[in-house]
Amino acid sequence: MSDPDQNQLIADVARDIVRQTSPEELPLFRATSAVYFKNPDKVLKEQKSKDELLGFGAGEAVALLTPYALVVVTEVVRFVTEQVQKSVAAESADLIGDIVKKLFKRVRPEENNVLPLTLAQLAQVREVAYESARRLNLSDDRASLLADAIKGSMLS
Amino acid sequence: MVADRRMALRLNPFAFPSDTDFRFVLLIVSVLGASLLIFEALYNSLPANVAPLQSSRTTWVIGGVLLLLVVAGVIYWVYPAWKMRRDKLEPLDAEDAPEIITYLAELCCEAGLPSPPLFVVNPLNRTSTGLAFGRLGRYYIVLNAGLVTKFSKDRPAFRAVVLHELAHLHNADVDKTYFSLAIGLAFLIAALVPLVISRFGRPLGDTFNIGWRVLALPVLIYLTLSAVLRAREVYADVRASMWDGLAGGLSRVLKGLPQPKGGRWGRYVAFHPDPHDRRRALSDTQHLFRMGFWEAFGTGIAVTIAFQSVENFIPTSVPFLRALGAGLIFAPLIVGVVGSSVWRAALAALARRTMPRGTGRLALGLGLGLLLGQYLSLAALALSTSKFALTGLNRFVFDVLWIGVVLISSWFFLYWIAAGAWTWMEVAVASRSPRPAYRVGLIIAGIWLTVWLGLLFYVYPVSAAGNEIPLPAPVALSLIQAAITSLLINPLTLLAFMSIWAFPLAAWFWRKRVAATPGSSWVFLGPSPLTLPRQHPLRPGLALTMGVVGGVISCALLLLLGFVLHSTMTDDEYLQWIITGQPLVAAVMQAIVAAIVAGRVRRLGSLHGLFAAFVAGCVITAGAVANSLYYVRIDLLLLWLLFTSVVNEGALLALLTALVASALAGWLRQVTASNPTKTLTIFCHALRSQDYHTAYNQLANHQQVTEAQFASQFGAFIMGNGGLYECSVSDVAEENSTAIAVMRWTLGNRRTQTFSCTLVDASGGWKISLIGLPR
Repeated sequence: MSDPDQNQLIADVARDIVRQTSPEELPLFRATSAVYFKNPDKVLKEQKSKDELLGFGAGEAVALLTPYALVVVTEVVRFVTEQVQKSVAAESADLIGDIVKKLFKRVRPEENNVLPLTLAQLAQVREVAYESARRLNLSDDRASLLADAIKGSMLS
Repeated sequence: MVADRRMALRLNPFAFPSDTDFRFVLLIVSVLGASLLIFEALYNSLPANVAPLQSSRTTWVIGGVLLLLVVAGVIYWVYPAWKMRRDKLEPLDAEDAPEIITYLAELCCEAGLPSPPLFVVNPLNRTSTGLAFGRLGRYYIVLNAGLVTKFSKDRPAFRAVVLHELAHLHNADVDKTYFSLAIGLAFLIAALVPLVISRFGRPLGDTFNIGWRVLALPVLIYLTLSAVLRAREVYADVRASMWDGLAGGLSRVLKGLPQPKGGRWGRYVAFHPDPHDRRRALSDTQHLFRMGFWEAFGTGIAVTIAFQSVENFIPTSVPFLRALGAGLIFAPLIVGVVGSSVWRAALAALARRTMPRGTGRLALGLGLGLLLGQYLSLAALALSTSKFALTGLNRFVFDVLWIGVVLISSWFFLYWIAAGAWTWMEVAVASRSPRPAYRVGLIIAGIWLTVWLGLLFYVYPVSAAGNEIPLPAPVALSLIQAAITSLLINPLTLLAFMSIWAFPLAAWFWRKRVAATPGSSWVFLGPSPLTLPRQHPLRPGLALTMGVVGGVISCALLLLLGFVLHSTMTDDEYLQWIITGQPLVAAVMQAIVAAIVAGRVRRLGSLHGLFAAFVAGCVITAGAVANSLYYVRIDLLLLWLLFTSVVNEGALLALLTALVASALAGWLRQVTASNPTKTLTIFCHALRSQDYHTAYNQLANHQQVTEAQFASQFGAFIMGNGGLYECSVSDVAEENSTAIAVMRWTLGNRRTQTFSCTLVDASGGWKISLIGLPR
C-alpha cells in the first residue's frame, strides 16, 4: 500500500472513530490530520501560540481525542498490515493494501467481501490499540474507548 | 431581569475616545521621542572622519526615525502571513463545519461588521480561546481547537469568546495592537541594537550617561504597550457584553480564567487585565471613567523626553516660534490623553452625584511626568555637560521655580478642564452626543496649553546657557519684572484669562435645554429612564452684577484718589499714577470683588469670581479713562495699555483671592452644612433640655401635629421615664434627598428607646419626616 493510500485509510478510520467518540472535534479533523501527516510528532505536543498573550486570555486546555486517534490508528494499520503480510507473503503489496482496506469494514462497506478476522486476531488488534493509547498517556477509560472503537470499525 | 437593569445602568465608555486610542498614541509618541533621543546619540557618537554622515544632523535623525517607521510598517504588514504559516492555521472549511460557518456569519451580522473576517482554526492549540489579528483590510479570527469543541459542548461560551474577538474588530483594536507590537520591535531592531553596538569601545562615563537614560526608554515603552493591550481587552469585553447581554456566557468564561501572577505590580506589566477587573467591567463600567495617575505620569514623560529634540527640528530661527511649534505637536497629546480622561471622569461624577474627583492626583502625575521626562531627555544630558549652565544658588532658584511652575500650572490646567467638563457635561447629557462639547473644550484647552508649553520651553534654555545672568540680583529681578510686564499687556494673556471663565460659564446659555431634557440617549449602554442629578446653578448674572457694582465703587474710589493726587502731583507724576498706580489699586479692588463672588457662589465660585473681576476691570477702565480724559490726552495705545494692565493684573490677583475664598467658603459650608445626624442630634439635645420649640423645628411636616401636642406627648414620655439621659444616632443611610437613621435614647430609668427615623432634605436642610412616636 502506498503512503497516500495508507494515509487516506488512517484518516478515514480515525475520522470514523472521532465521529463515534468525539463528534464535536469533527470540524477540526481535516486541519488536524493535515498537520499530522506532515509532521506526526507535532500533533501530540501541546502548542502555545507565541502571541497567545494577545488573545482572549489563558483559557482552559481541552483534552482532544483526534490527535490520539490518528496516532493509534496508524499503529493499528501498521500492525494489521504486518499480520496480513505474514499470512499472504507471496502476494503483491497492492493486494495486501486492498486486503487491509477491506478489513476496516465500516469505512469501506463496499469492499466487505474479504474474510473476517478471527476473534483472537480482533482481540490482538484491540490490545495493540489499547497499548498504543496508554503509551500516549491516555487515561484507561479513553484508551479503552479508543481501542473498542477501532475494533468496532473492523467488525461491522 | 436584574441583569438587564444592571446593564441599563452601565455608563457608556464608547461615548468618548477609548483609553486604547490614547495609550496607542502615547506609545507612538514615546517610541518616536525615544528614537529621536537615540538617533541624536548615535549621530553624536559618529567618528569625526565620517564627514558625509555628519553633513546634516537633521537628516540623520529624521532618516533614522523614518527607517524605524518603515521597519515597523514592514513587520506590521507581513506579520499575518507569517503567523498563518508559523501556527499552521487553516481556514475553517464549510464542508467540515457548515453549522459553525453559518453561526459565525450570524455573529458577524450581530456585531455589525461591514465585512466579516476570515475564520481560521488552530488545530494544535487546545485552549478554548480565540485571537483576532491581521492588517488593514485583511483580518482573521483564530478559533483554537478547544474553542471549536465548545460549539457543540458549550455554545454560550463559544459565542462569548467569538463575540469578544469580533468586538476587537469593531473597536478597531487589531491595527492598533499589531502596529504597537511592530513599532516596539522596530524600536529594538532599528534603534536600540545600533546604539548598543555604537557604544563599544567608548568612554565609560559617556556610555553610562546615555545608557541609563536609554534603559529607561524600553521600560516606558513596554509599560505603555502593556497598558494598550490591557485597555483593549476590557473595552472588547464591554462591547461583547452589549451584544451578548449580561446573562450571556462571557462572565462565566472570564470567571474560569486564571488569576495573573506577580501580585499588585504584576498588573502593570501583564498584557492581560485581571479577570476579576474584566468581570467587574461587565456590570459596572465606572472604573473605565476613572482618572489614572500613571497614565498622566507616562504622558508627561513621553512629552518632555522628546520636546526639546523635536523643537530643534522646527524650521525657524525664532526661539519662541520653535518652542510654540513643538508645543503644537505635544499639547494635543496631553489634552487627548489627560484632558479626555478628565471629561470622562466628569460624566462618572455626574452619574454618581458627586464632584469630579482625582484632578489633583492626575495633575501631580502629569507634572511629575513632565519633570522626569525632561530629566531623561538628551537636552538634560547636554545641560549636565554645558559650560554655560546655571550653577549653585542660581541653579537652585531656577529649579525650585521651574518645578513649582510646572506642578502648579499642571494642576491649574486640569482643574480648568474639569470645571469646563463639569458644566458642559450637563449640556452634553441633554444633547444627542457629547462630542461637540468635549471637542470644543479640548480644542480650547489645546490652544491654551500650546501657548503655555511654548512659553515654558522658551524660558527653559536659560538653565542651560544662563550662567551669565546674575540671579537673583536686582538686575535679574528687573529683567523678570520687564518680562512680567510685557506678558501682562500681551493680548494672548488677556485671551487666556478670559477663556478661563468664559468656556465653563458659557454652558449657562444652554440651561433651558438642560432643564427641559428628561433623560439622555447616550449616557448609559442600555436605554435608561434615569436623569442625572441637578447641580447648583451657574450664576453668571450675579457675578456680572457684583462686577458692575464693584467696578462702580472702585471708580468712585479712584476718582476721589485721583482728585486728591492731582492736586498734589506734577503732570508727569500723575501720568505715572495713571499707568502704574491706578491699575494696582484697580487690581486690588477686582481681587476683593472676585473673593466676594467666589465666596457666595456655590458652584465654580472661583471662576465666577474671575468673571466678576473682569467685569469690574472693564468698568474701572472705563471710569479711569473718563476720569483721566479731563487731565491728559489718551490715545488708543494708552487705552490698550490701561485696559490690559487693569484687567490682566486684576485677573492675576483675583485668581489667587478667588481660589482662596472659594476653597474657604466650600470648607465652611461643609462644616456648617445640615446632615441627618446633625438634625437628629439637635432634636435629641433639644428634647433633653426641654427646648420643645427647637425640637419641633426639626420636623418636616408641622401639619400632622401642633407644637403644643408635640411638647405634651414627648414631655410626658420623657418625664414618665425619669428624663432623657443620653442619645445617639446610628445606621444613617442617605439616598438622594432622603435618609433613614436609627436614634437611640437612654432614659433616666435606665431603659433605652429606639426610633427608626426618616429624614428629607428640605430647603432649610435635613428635617425629620417620620419618627415612631413613643406610646
